[in-house]
Amino acid sequence: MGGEVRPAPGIAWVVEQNGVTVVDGDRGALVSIAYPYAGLWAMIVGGTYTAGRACDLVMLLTGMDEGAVERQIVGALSSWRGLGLLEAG
Amino acid sequence: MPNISITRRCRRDCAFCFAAHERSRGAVVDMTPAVYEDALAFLERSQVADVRMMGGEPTEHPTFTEFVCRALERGLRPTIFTGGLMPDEALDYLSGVPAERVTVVLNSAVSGRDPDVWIRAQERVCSRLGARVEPGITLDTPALRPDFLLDLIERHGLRPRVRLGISHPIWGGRNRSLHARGARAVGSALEPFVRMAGAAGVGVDLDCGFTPCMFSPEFLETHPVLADSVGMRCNTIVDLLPEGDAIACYALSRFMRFPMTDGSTREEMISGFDRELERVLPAGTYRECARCQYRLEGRCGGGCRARRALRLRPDTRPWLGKG
Repeated sequence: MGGEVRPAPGIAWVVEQNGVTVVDGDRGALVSIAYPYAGLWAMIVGGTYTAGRACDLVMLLTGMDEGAVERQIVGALSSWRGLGLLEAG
Repeated sequence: MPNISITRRCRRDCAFCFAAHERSRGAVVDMTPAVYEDALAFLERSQVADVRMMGGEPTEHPTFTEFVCRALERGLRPTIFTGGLMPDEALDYLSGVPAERVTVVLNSAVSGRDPDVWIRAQERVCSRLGARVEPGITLDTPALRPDFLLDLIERHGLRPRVRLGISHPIWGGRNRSLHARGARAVGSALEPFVRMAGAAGVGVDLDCGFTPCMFSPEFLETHPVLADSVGMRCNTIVDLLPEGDAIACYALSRFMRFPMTDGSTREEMISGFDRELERVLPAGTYRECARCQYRLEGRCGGGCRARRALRLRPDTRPWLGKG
C-alpha cells in the first residue's frame, strides 16, 4: 500500500479536535483530514507508518473489513500524493 | 489602530517583551523626523486621529518631545506607551500637555517581579502626570493580581481605566510568554478584578489575545459588552517600525513586512497581511477551536494569531522572514 512515505518539504500540519489540517507554506491550507484518516497521517509524520499497522489501526477504528480498509488507505495515500502532501520515503 | 514604533531603545529589557525580536535586530534605532512625518501622513490618509507611539521606550527617542509636539500641531492625539523609565525632559514636557490631549499608557511594574527602581520611577511618573496616565499590566502568569492598579489610580488621580494584556509569544522568537493553557486560566482569574474595578468606577480594557473561553459563562452573561467583543481583539494592527517598514503586529514580526509607501493606507496593509496570514494559520489557539460555538457564532476569531502559528508542526520557522 504505497511503500514508505513522508511529508513533502514545506508541508506543515495542525492537530485539531476533529482531525488534522495540512498546510503548505506557499499554497496555504490544503486539506482537512478527519478521523480515522488523521490517525493515518499521524503514523506517517511520526515515522511509524507501515501498511500492516495502518490497516490494523483503521480496521480497529472503523470496524470495516480488511479489504475495504486497504482500498481506502490506498485511495487516501494516492490522493495525498496527488495533492503534493507526501513524497516517497 | 496602528502604532508608530519611534525607537528600538529601552532600558527595561522585560523577558516577556513582544518587541524583543525587533529590538534585537541590528536595524535603525531611532525613527528619523522624515519617516515620522511619513507615518503621520499615513495615519491621516488612513483617517486615524490617534498617534500611538511605542518602541522600545518611546520617551527615550532623542526628539520625542518634538514628535509629540508635531502630532499635536497637526490636530492628532498622541498616546504614549511607556515602561515608566522616562527621561526628565520627556516627563517635564508631558506634564505641560493638557490631560485631555494626551494619554500615557503605563506598563506597570509589579512588586516582587520587577526591580524597585522601576516602581519608584513609575510612582514619579504617576505623581507628575496624574490624569494623563492610564495604567496597564502585562500578565505573565495567571497568579498575577492587578488589584494594586486600583490603589495606584486612587493615590495619583490617574485615568479610571486599566489596560490588561497577556504575554504572547513571538512566532519564531524567543521571548518568555504565557503558555496557551496558562493564558486560558488568566480569564477566570481576572473575573474578581473586573468586578472590583467596576464597583470602583474603573473600566477595564482587555488587550489582544483574550478569548471568550477564558471566562466563565456566568461572567460573560453579566458582562455582555465584553462577551461580544473580547474574542475579536486579535487583528492586524499595523506597527510602523523606525525604518518605515510595517508589520502586522510585533508577535508576527518575523512573518512578513511591507514598506510604508506614499499612497498606502492602513486598510490596504491590513488586507495584505490578512490574506497571507489566514492562508496558513490554524483555526484557533486550541484544538477545540475548530468546533467552538463562540467561533461558529462569529464571537471569536480564534485568539492570538502568533499562538495559532505555534500550533503548526513541524518547525515552520523556515517560512519566516530572515530578519
